[in-house]
Amino acid sequence: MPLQNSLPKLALALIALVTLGCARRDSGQQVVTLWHQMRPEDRAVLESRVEAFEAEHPGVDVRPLYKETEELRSGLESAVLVGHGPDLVYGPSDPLGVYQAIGALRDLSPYFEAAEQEAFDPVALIRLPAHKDPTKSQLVFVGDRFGNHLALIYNRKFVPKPPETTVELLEIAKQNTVDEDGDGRFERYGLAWNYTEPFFLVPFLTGHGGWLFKEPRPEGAAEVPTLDTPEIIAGLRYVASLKKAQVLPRSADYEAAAALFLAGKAAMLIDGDWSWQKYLSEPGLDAAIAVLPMVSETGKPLAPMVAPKGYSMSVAVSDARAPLVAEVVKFLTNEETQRAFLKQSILPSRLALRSDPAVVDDPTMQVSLAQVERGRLMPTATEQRAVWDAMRPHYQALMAGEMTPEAAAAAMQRDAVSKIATLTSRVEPDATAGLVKLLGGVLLAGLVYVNRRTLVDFARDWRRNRFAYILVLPALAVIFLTVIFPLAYNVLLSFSNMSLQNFRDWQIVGLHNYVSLLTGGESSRFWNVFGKTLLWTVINVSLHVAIGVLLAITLNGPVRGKSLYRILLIIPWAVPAYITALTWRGMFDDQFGAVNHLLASWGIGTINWLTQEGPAFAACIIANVWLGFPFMMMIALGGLQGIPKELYEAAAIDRVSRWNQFWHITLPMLKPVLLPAITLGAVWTFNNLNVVWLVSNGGEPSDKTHILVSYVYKAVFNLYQYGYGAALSMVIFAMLLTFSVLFLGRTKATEAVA
Amino acid sequence: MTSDTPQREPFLLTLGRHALLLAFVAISLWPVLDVLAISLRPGNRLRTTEFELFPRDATLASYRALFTEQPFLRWLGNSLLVSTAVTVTGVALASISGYAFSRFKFVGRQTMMVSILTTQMFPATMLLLPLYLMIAKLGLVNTFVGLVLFYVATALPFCVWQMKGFYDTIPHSLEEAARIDGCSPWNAFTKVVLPLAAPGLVITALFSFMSAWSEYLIAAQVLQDRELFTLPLGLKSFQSSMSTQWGLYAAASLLVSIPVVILFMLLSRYLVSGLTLGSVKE
Amino acid sequence: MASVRLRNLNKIYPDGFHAVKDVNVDIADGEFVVLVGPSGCGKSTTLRMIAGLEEPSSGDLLIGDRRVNDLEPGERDIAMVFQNYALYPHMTVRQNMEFGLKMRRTPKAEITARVNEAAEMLSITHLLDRRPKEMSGGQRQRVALGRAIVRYPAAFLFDEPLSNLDAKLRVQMRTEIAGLHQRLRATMVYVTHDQVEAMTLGDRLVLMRDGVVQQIAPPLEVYHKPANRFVATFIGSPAMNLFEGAIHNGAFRLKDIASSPVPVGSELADGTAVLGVRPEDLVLGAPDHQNFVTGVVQVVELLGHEALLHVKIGSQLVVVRSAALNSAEPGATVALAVREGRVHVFAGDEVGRRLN
Repeated sequence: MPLQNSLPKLALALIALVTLGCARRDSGQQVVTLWHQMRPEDRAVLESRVEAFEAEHPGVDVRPLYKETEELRSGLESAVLVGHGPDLVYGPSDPLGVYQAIGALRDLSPYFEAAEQEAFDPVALIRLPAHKDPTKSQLVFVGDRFGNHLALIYNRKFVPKPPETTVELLEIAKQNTVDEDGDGRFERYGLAWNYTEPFFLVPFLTGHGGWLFKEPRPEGAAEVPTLDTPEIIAGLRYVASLKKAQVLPRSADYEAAAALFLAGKAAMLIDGDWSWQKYLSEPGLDAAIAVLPMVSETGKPLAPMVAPKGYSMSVAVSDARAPLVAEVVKFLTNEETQRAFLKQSILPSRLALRSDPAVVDDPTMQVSLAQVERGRLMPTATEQRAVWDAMRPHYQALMAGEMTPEAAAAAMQRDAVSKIATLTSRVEPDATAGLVKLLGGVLLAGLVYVNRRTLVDFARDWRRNRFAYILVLPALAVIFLTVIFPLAYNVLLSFSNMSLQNFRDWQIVGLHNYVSLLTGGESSRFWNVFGKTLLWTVINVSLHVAIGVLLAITLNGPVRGKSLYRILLIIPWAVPAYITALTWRGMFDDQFGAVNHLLASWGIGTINWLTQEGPAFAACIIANVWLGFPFMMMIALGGLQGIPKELYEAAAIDRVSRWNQFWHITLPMLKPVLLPAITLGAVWTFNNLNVVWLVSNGGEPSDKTHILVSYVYKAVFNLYQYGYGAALSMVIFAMLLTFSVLFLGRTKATEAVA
Repeated sequence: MTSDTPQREPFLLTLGRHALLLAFVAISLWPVLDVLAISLRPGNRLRTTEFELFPRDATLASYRALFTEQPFLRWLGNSLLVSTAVTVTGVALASISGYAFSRFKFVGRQTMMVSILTTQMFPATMLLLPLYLMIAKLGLVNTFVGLVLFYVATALPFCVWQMKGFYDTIPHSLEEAARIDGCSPWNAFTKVVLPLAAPGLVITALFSFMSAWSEYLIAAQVLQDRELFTLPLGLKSFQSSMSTQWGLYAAASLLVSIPVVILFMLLSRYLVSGLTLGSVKE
Repeated sequence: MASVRLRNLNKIYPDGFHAVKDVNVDIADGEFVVLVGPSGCGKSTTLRMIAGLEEPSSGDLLIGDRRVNDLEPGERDIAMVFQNYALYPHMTVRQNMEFGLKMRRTPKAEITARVNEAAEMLSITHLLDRRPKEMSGGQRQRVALGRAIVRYPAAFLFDEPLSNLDAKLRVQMRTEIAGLHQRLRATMVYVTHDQVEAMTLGDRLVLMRDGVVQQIAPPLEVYHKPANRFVATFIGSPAMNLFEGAIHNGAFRLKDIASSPVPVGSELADGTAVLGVRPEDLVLGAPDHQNFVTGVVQVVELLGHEALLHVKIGSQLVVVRSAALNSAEPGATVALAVREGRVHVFAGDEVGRRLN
């Protein structure tokens, strides 16, 4: 095999290439990193404005980079902890409270004079109490636009005039909910929106006079949720009545609602400003935008949440660089930049531009402006996220008809109160803190002691097995050098009180996280999810192995075209899982999904896959089995090659049945090759966040479709409980370790064949 | 192997084989065809309410945009570089350490084997913050070396175990014969054992390649410069909360899977080569 | 060619198992020595130590005049044939045979010449371009032999090379190996648990049990003068009959059973002893004979040219080999006599050292 001989040379060449490939353009330029959350459509405008800035400021290199919410936050966290991170972040204003709470933001006021500030809509400039000194206020955010507000999009073919009141809304919706062929399934619905996210519920609540938090905010205390007021219940009742009147599709997430409207199967749609262009420019669709109607009973408008979007400067920026970075902010929020964005129908934050012909003459912009004026400003309070989390599952349950408005309101309030309490609680070191520190020391010492004996053995063994040690050393070094710090950090955090309240000044508080995890209020939920995770893992891995081995054996037989089969069967593994998982979600759509379509055509009847607990879980499993079997098949195919043909010949002579040949020859001979794949497959499946998250859209329905990691992810990151999350991952780690040691011990997988 | 065994295949069995394979091919391709449909749809529509394999208004606009408006080729190049480096390093390290784990009974062998597995047991999302801190501190931001190092470290545990499993199926007497024929332990390994572990090497290579090819989380921490983006990062940049460019995303996803399929085509010859057959009789 | 000498060789595994105990063997240049014994007796370990595949715990190994303990297997100038052939599956027969020579940087022309010569010798020339999986077991073993031959080694080592072959092939290959030895006159060390192979092939046998050498002697001497009870029963088929009893005044008497005394030599001291008689040395009694003992025939096995009679004496079954096919029926009572001078006397203790 000449390949083996050329490997070292090839490796050297590659290393050289990789090293060269990342040589930075070191031109002495000042680099300003900007992490933003702009729509793909707007990024081109941003890039061109950045280029314009660079042209004016030679020697400055501004690097805009799209980042997701979580990534953006982790960048800021890093800026706080090690001074490394983005210089600027751009996004909606709602996470500002969190950023400020961890001390991630710099004050922009020294760079924006009062006169300059007056040119902006006042709500576009956000000041928050300083992180270190709450009596002082800082300018932490300069908005360049308004957005995120919902409005009504309607199909003019069906709705000549948009409704002005909720009574009209219901009326028009009813007229447009039609079952033309009388098969009991509607071809068109009156109204649709994404009813998995409570953000879309807010207009109905405000229209009935409700709001999420008590106003004004109590002095020096946390926000108080008001989710069980009569006004909120009235709002929920109205939404439920729409559902009951059957003018809404049975289930709809964001993409499904959009698809319905685009296909002319929903007469009206509630969606945000980011999406309007899509509907207005769709060929063959006569769509228009209108402000959301008034509530007939209260006379109040359905007021959506509105948020300015804009720039904040992170603490990664040094004093010396701050003026330059502020210059970037100024440039990107100046009139010229905002004018450039007008083409995208974006509502500017500079008041002067509000009278620009591009705004005045554009009906969409006018609707947008009117809707913003009716809207409610999105809170920047850290509590907001806890409230979304509290609302989401019960809102979903309400829309699925599983909860009454009153019960949903009560449950939302209860959960919100408890989540806010968690969010704002400060954990102080308890008696176990000393114990943990002491035990940690003892454990370390014990480890050294145990290893001392091993070291002696090792020294003795070195002479005999030097070759073996040299062989394993590089791999071990690479593996452990890269993971040792993250692991150790995680262990430390799991005993700490790191949270939003104690982000920088966290300390070891003892076993608190573990205790509350295993015995606290959420512990029964924890064990429930744990059980589900086991089920998830066992079913998935068994099916992966069973299907994989079955296909490998089939492919290994005398089949024509086996190489073609082999390639086609590997495809689920080759296509990025992100898109195929979402495709599976689409295929499970209750009404328009291919799965139900097939089931119906076979006369089996349809299943509400994604809105019921059991079927939703099954859907996740099916998608994951699909994603995972090709890999197992590949491994089994490889393993089959090691089985000597003579074994089968002898078996055939002895008239051993095919089944027994499989059971007594194939399977035992596959064992050494399959075992690592099964062990690690189980570990990976146990920790597979993506598939569950994507197929169930983050745990739908009502947070019932969770496995441990997705549960941790949601429970922890939404409430910023880093210590708790670390403890949970330690528990997961311990479970998997126990499993692996037992499983490997049972199967003698670590034995060397002697 | 039943390929040319004396067992004669009844017609029904042949039929059964094809039926089974065709059924699974259909299941495999179905969602992928859906992705194809998304990539051909104009506008950014993830879902439709129609059942049609090829949208009536199908267009190649997304594909065109990928190559003309997006630095797709640049990302492809970066990804190929990183993935190849990971594959070569991963296969090299895994093949030698797996051999030691399979053949030698040295002190701490079991502990080492289990402990390299433990690194896979932490939920990755939990390690992101410390990972980023470490990358920042070590100055590995925007370096492929850092990225390759992390990828190799994540791919190795499986690869080492897999290689060990494959070596376990190769009789010791082959190396012994080679030793007596004058090979050093290293030569006996590279000239005799390694070629026989070809299926294992293929699996290890494909796995290492894929783990780098499709990885997003770590890449997003390390690479902060669009010029250095790998494909998954590029793909991700078409995403945005509630306004993802699905057409581009789907088109890129399909294009991204082509190199994997090609690699598999090239390597699958070795995967099913059956070299060890008949070498020895236990 | 060279001699192989084992001096106080010991092998103790890390788990404490003492596999080979103080083995001393001198193998002369050109000699064919067979290590034989039941499985687990340490014969294979001894061979593998000679090959360099196992490291001796103590003792010295000499090939020719070189102490080879610290030499790599490849430096010891030996060739080995394995039970499972251990052909390199990814190489053709020719490549398999060339491999060792290539590793030693033998000139290309010489390699080809040697391979062709060996292939000729083994009649495998037509197989040279095949791969191992395309050949039968017998052919593979020939290739394995060829791979050893081309090396012109100082010594050949065989590790149960025939045990994977069926009975017919085994006989054929056995003769072939014997012929090979006569032709090459090379030093050969051969491990087997099959006594027929041992008897037919070896110039000398080394009998081992539990890591200890029991006897080193030419096959006939082992057969006729087994050094102890173990060797006596291990070599010979059917196995030697053993009778427990005692020596008194130079004659042996059975314990608990009425029997005539068998003279064993006056030089032997009185005391308990075991009398060994091979089946062919027990003869069915004749009136004129001094009969040793009587028993009842249980089973008669007719082998064509001879018969094996299983005779019950007391609670013990003994086997008698008889040239006459119709000498007795099952159920018949027969008297047995012992062929003169063909008795083996062993001590009555655990080891059962030979006394006469």
